[in-house]
Amino acid sequence: MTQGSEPPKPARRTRGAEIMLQTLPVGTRLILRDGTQVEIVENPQDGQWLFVRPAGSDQDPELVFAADVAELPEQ
Amino acid sequence: MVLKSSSERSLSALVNLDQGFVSRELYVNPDIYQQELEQIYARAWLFVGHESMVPNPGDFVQSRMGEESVLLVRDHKRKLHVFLNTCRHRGNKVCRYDDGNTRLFTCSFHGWSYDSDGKLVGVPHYKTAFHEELDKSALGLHEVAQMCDLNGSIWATWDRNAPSFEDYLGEFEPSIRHCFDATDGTENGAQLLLPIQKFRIPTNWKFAAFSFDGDALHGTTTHRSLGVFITEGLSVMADENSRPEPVVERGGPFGRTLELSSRELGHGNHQSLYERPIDQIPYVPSWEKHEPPEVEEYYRRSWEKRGKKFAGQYLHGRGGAHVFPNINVQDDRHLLWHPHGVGMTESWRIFPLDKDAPEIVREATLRYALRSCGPSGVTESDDMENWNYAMEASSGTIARRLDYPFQSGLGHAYADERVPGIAVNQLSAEENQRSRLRRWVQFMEAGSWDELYPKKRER
Amino acid sequence: MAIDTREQAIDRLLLAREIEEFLYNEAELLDERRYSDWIELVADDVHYHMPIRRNVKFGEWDRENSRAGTEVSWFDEDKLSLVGRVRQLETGLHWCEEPASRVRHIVSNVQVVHAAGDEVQARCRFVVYKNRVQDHEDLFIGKREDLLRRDPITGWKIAKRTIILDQNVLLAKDMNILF
Repeated sequence: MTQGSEPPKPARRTRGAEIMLQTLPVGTRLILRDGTQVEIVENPQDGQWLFVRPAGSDQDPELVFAADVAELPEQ
Repeated sequence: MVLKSSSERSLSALVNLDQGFVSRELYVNPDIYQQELEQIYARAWLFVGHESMVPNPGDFVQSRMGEESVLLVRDHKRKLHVFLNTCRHRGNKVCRYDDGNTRLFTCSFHGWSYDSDGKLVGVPHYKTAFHEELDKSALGLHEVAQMCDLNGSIWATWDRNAPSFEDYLGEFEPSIRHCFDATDGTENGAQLLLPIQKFRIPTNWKFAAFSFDGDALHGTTTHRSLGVFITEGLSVMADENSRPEPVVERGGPFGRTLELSSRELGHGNHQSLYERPIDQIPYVPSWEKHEPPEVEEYYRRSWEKRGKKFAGQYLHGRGGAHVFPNINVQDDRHLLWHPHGVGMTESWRIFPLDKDAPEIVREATLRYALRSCGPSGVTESDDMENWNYAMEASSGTIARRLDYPFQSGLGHAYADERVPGIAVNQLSAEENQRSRLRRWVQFMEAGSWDELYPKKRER
Repeated sequence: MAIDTREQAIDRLLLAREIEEFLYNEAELLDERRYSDWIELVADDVHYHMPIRRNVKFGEWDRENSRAGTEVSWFDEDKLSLVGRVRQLETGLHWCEEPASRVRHIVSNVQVVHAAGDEVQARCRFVVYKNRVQDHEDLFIGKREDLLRRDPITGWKIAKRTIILDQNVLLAKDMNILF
């Protein structure tokens, strides 16, 4: 599992379909298509879904689908 | 007794157990096979797996009920579930891995995703394509109607009207429960190993399932070649019970051996049952030739401890048990006979070990079992050959007009208050097969569980 | 990687050729049902293992092949049990091989992976075709990893053999032939 490991440091912003979700560690921040910035709370590693919550919040995690992820910003 | 055609015969006319005749149609007719899937496999309690296969939250193993794939899953609250392995959207398999650990079961077709408790939690484009109108709560993974954890072993049925599994086993419940103890009698002391040996035998499932634990007579012929392992001092490889002469001619080494079955429910027990209580049966050394002394010592101590625990009892969960319709639970392996078409059986071997035995004992035990059992085992490979050609040579237009005689020991079974069910000398081994066939007819003719349990009629 | 001298290259070729020849001869013995001769090629301390191949998730491929000893395999044999299997085949009463199957071992892609002292690690691919009675066919395809040991008097011996069969559900009713 990736829990507790350091988030990666991508050299550039990665967009939508290029993002390989299954390798993203917990804590990674993402921008969704609706513009929300979220962080990964748990990664089921199926390459399709992530448990996320608004970045910096302590809300209950929600599932977000790969196609709804717009961008992986520089961390 | 030759009959004209299957269409003129009702199911009960195909089986005459009072005279000991069974039509070959039962084994070769595709229509009967299709009915079995409905009448038997959609209603009976079936073996699914074991707690030890899924020890941690999120653990799963792909199992099978009848022809269909199911998932045994431990959810994130540690509760066990058995789900049909099919996405509720377009039916794709939601899991194609044999076993593992997962947070979600996500379909690879449209991405529908299920939590480990079966709830549909993810539907891609739920807002844009489904306008949030899809009722996700009604589209969780399809779960069995009833599940039972019997001393660590997991069983399930698709029929909510089936009796409890304990009632389904009836008077054989204790002996089958104790099959999942450790050798020394420690409750829930068995571990069932992964992976599972899976292989295909071109035969009808009943050839194997109905004769196993009930056909002592085949040993002297089918397993004749095992003699080389005895005479050459290699007996650790061969199933001692398959030795050619002793059991049939003289009973076992400790007096007459019994074979037991329930005429009403179809279950039975087969091996190592003597007309003596367990504590009066001495331990028989069987490991000393080829394994370190720790192994022999472990099993000697276990046998003595078991003898004390079950003192005075005749049936104590060692040997072999058959649970109707398609599993045999034995000391060294469990045998599943999944229907896979009228002329094909997908057979599984699952190997049990004592959970807490030392590694040296576990490895020796497994090694022994692997060499004897399954498609690469020196014992069972010859069974597969015979079942294969029994199917082929029974299927022809002329051949299928004939009936099989099931007459060994007919009329010689008796009730014995020391043991459940009806008993016969193990030599008269076809009584257990008659019990299964009797139950088979009941399942095939009954419209519902109301007619199946409690039993409505004696045949 | 250092470039071999011509002599080293020739040594490697000769060794590879010798190993190939050994494996082809072995296949000939099995296909001609000379099991007693074949067992002479097996070292007394042999470990002969055929794992079960699991379907596992990407990234879990170290779990794909079952481990010998602690997990369930198709074969987990020593010399004693292989001797037993050979004797059983020679009874004429081992029904899954009586009448005898027509078996062909096709061995290819032979590579010497490592050579040190008297021992050579070799790998190859195999196609084992089994045809029996009238129309029964089984096809076993996979990879073999062998540890071969040179005995100064009796020649090469099989000290360890791992047979990686490319099947999950075994598509054969039995598998009591030698690989």
